[in-house]
Amino acid sequence: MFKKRLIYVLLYRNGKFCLSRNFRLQTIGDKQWLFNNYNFGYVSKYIDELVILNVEGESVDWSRYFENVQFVLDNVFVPVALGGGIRDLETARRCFEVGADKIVLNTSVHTNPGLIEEVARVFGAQAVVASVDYRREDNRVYIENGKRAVEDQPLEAYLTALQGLPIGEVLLTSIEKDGTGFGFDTETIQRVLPHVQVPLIVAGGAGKKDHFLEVAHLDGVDAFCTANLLNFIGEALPDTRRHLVENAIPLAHFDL
Amino acid sequence: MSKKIFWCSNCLNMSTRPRITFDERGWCTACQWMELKRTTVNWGQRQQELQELVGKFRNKENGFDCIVPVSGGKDGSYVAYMLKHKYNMNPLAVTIRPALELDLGSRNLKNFIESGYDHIHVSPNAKVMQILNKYGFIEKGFPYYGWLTAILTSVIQVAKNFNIPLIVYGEDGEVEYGGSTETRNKSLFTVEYMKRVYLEGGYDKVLNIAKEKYGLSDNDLSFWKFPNLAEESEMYFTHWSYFEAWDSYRNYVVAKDHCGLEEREDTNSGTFTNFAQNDQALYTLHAYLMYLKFGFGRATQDAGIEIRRGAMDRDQAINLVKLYDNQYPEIFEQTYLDYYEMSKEEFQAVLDKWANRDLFEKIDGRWMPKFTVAEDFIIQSQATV
Amino acid sequence: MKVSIIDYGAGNIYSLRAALRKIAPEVDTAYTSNLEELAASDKLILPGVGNFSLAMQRIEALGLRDFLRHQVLERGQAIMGICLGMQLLFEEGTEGGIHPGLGLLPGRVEAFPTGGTLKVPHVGFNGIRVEGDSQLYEGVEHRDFYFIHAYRVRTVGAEVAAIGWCDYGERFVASVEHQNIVGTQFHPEKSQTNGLKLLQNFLDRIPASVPQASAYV
Repeated sequence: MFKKRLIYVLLYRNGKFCLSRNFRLQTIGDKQWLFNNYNFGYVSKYIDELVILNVEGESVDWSRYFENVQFVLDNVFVPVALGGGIRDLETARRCFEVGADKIVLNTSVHTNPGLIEEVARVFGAQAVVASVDYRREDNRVYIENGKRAVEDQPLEAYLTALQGLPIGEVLLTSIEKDGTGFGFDTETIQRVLPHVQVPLIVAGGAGKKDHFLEVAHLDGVDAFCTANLLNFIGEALPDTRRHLVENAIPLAHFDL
Repeated sequence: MSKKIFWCSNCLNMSTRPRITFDERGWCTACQWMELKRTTVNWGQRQQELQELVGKFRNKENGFDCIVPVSGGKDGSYVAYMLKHKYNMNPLAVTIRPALELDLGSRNLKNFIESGYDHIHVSPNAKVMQILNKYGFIEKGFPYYGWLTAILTSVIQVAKNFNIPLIVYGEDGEVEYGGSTETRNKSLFTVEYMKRVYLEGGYDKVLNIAKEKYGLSDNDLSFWKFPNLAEESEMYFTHWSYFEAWDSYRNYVVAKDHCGLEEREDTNSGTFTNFAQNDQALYTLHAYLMYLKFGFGRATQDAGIEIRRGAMDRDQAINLVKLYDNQYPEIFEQTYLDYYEMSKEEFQAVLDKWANRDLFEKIDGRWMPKFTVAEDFIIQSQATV
Repeated sequence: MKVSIIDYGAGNIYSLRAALRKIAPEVDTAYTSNLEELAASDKLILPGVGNFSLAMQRIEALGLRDFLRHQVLERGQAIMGICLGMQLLFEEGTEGGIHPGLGLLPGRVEAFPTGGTLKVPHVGFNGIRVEGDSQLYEGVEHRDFYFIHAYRVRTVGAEVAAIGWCDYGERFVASVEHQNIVGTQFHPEKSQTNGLKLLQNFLDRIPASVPQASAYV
């Protein structure tokens, strides 16, 4: 039976890991902090995928990013997606070399769809996750870490247009819910479901385990994630998985 | 004789908190109030009361009709915003300049004013402030007692001078955060309440000591005097939180979207947030002293807010409180020493004086909790004669 | 024991190496296209992500096609194909145009149907139903494994000893076992303890042996 996925997202910037609230970042700690409070060698057994996004913006220190990625992934055996600021094939390649199974493209999807074609040709379409950040207020997609609106088309049209590109999945994030602990933007998610033909990952607003129940049952939502770095330390992710399973959400089971 | 220290079964408020009580479920007054806010409080009626109150004062011929004490932070900004834009009032925002202002705080205040508010910036005599703050730090474990007093007294003085009979504060801390429930259903409060609860009954004594021991004159203490109010009805003091369900995260969002509020780039000392209390360095010391006296710090307060607004579960909060509550204010230590004109030893000695030895023990020069967060803790006290 | 992962430029083997290091640190693991080294290995692993057609072109260019057919079918060397690597074991693929595979197993690789309600690619964990005499799943209690693919094999020849079926839309071949030749469409190195146990079984239980009924030699 096909399972849904609980995905955890790390936001990385300048050697530190951050919490985001409506795309405003608060630096929390470095890789040692992460190790002390998350210990992915243990926690990774309770999630289905790990995403490590670089949110440095315009100019990215890739070497330092990859260094941190390798530290996090040491002894971690979980599907991994890397991304944030990827603008060319070479950077995408480096992501795969360091352990990524998929890369996440956001701004490039809009400004350089040719890159998707390139990556898909070499690594397969399934290796590309198209990340879409939106505001419900104006029903628009925002690129460049939420700074610039794609004015000329509403969210639904943008998602529909994505189907013409060789992508594997869509990661849909609500900017207004991001980091707020208000729960997911279920209204928008349900509204746009028919416009996404590839696997859909939803994000933005989860603060506690109950929030995931708002979206996990929805037909058409294949995976749900959180980037909340503070709320899920220690046992919180394992607790979340247990809670979802107890509430009949189909998640993978792993031998002890 | 033993005493049990315990935590609220819903949030993480501690039984050590002054004036706190718990119901049969073990829920503290803040959590009980949260429930009441959601279920039984008649907000429609309270809205009506607010309309009537502000309607009484809404000045149609120019001139300010209410005062909103602000710091540039989320709460005052929210209240000012609501009064001006939703209730069509003409608020005068007032800030009482604290000692050791932080850049971010100043920037936030500037952004607030520039987003379109009339504002008075009162700077009580900084030397007097320092004397009162230092006295408060040493003798009361309140490192900014001088400022805490001035934000009450000088705001009222401004109100009196501008002939503004209505002062709208933000939240009633006792009601919202787990203190006395005395004012839960009271829309107005009084100078007597301020002196008794906010200043813990110490106002007159402190002013006398300031004059006798520190040689301050009445003139020096001008901004620290409560003006004579002819009668009860001459001035109205109220909390916004009486009329509308208080939600500090909502305030943050509104202040961010409409008043230019910015956050710190990294986490504030002693907690896990970055968007509150960014105006003055002494707040961090105040919170640390609270921790040493009672066993709970800023992280516990913030965790309570997160739990009550449904953003986090209690067990998630425990992780954060354990991680962030006990944080010596390293970042500001030198600043405090310079401000109080104390040596490190003198400073530590004051902290030591206020540390509750039932709850803490000193290990390697730092006070460490004997208790574990959220686990019932028994204090065996020595019988004293 | 020496295990060689076949290097034909197929991308990410980082996790596979890490997984092997974890379960069998004493095993000598190499990542190589050197034919001598490959021939001298006890086991071969054929990884792969990307495009069937491009992959086979690279394999052919490296002289690996005939080499592997000889090593596996005639010398009985044990080989495990993972993801695209499993697909390459079959007769033919249709991704990037119709292109012959290594032809070590009977079957062909086709795209999941698109345009309907089934979401393609198949990404995530899915369960396996094992049919036949399996070595790979011995001791693996939970059979959820990680998939990420848009092409799959729907049927294999009946002589294949064990098949792991997976349901996605309709059933497809998620794993095959035929004497010295095994393959998984899913990524065992991404499938937590379930996958690590399966990889261990490849090391422990899949022998070198010349496969019978090789009508495709």
